[in-house]
Amino acid sequence: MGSFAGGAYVLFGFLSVAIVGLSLLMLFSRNFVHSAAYLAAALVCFAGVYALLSATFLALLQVFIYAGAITVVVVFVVMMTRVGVDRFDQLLQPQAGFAALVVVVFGGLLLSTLLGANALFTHQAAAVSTPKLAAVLLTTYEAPFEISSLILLAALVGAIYLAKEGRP
Amino acid sequence: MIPAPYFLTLGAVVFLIGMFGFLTRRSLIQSLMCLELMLTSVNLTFVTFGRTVGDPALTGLTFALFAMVVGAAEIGVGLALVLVFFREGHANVESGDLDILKG
Repeated sequence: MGSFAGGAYVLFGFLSVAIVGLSLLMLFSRNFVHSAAYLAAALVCFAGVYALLSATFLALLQVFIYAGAITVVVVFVVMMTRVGVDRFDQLLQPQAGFAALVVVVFGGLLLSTLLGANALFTHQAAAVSTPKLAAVLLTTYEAPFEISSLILLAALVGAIYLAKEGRP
Repeated sequence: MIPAPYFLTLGAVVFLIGMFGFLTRRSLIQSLMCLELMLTSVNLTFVTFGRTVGDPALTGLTFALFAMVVGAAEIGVGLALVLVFFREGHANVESGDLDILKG
């Protein structure tokens, strides 16, 4: 058991480094197709982190929805528009310095709060089985579940209407 | 099991990377990609807190599921809007060119 727990830490460290590295690569690549590929890889690594949290169903959905569907749509739109920039400074807004300041201040607050509250997060519940998740989803959360299908339908119709050539 | 603060810190760091990207990128497409990153990191936080709290209604997990649904809808409509913007003659699809509401 001890060696397995150590393995989980090693896996988590590997996934964290991969996610942060891939996110930064996504941010700083001048070719948007490369960005989308890095994003897809980072999102697959997130699925691994969900699996470490014993949220297996969510890990599966993460691969299907984020790494699969969303990345494909992003690549599709990148291919239809401009695929990249020539110089690095063309990536950035004019107010990038101010934005960096905002992020540093917000990040300082966020991380200091998190590290200050470390002791609160000692409790750990048992892993949730997928049948239990399904039961909760179709009883307690039945109304939001149905409404989310309506949201998807509305988004589908809206996206088709917007992207259609020569809409009224 | 790995303690919750590890996951929360990872979520926070990725959220900050996404936030920085969203605020600084010119291209709407890269902004949307950063938005996806932020959504996913917040989802990770939801799942982590769901495991920490451990309530019988599984609030954390289900909230992450619904956030995924809304995220998928959002990226679909967002990219359709990018396409419309591109078709109206803005070849670079930069957020700075969105100035119709400017007085």
